[in-house]
Amino acid sequence: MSVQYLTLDQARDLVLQRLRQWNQSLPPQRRNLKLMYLNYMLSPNDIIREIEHNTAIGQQIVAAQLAAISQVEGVTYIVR
Amino acid sequence: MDLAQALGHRVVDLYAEMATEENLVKAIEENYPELCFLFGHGSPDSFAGQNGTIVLKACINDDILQGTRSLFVSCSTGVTLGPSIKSKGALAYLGWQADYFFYVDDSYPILEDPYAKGFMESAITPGLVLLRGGSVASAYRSAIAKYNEWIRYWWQSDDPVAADVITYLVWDRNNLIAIGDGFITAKIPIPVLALPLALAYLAFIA
Repeated sequence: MSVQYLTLDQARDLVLQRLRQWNQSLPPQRRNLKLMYLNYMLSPNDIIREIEHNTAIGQQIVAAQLAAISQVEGVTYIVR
Repeated sequence: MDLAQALGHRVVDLYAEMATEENLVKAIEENYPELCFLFGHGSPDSFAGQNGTIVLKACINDDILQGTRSLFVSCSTGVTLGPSIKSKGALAYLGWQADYFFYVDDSYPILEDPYAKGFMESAITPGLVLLRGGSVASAYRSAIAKYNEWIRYWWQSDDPVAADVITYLVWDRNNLIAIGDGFITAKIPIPVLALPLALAYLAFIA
């Protein structure tokens, strides 16, 4: 597996790009889905907003999403 | 709880407003439990009961769990609280070393929610194994197997959110850890991140 180094901003942008595409492709009936995190129930738009505002929740979501992208692409992303 | 009682366990249930530090300490002192299952909000060094009130904190009162095997279904207690509990004489700790995600579709009642089901079943699996007298190692491996079963299920689904459900099943699976009964596992989250809420450390299995 190759290794690629990213800044925090690059990691966030990479994840945001994919999530925005995913959000646009969601059929209306799937927009009821919420991601439970701590006390929060996050809709797809909420997820994107948390990442855009670089909140603690957004950072955790970026970490989880980047792990998934790594596995799909076969690239280890290291943020520094 | 029904299963626990059917298997012959005596159950003390501290639900909702009963989930206080005082009640937890009293229940443990009076009953000497073998197993403790704690469902609530967690942070790296603490676990909260009703209304977010801290009921357990590393190096403050976590020695009350000595002699028990504990499953914490909560965020992040595996970072500090779990290892601290083990060092204070607990027989085992199972829990998560990062924040815990799961999907819900609020158009369903929670127990019928097809999106939450995989997350809930996987999280409770180690508890079911412990109730049946299984070891910490088998509880951990059963949980991983259950996560993998659900990941395979969603991998074959053409639901447009399947990939995202898999993302968080994988995250939760990779951050489950177990310490106890001569077994320990901790994983490097992939990718390695320098974010303040992410962790990186060496993984080993004994």
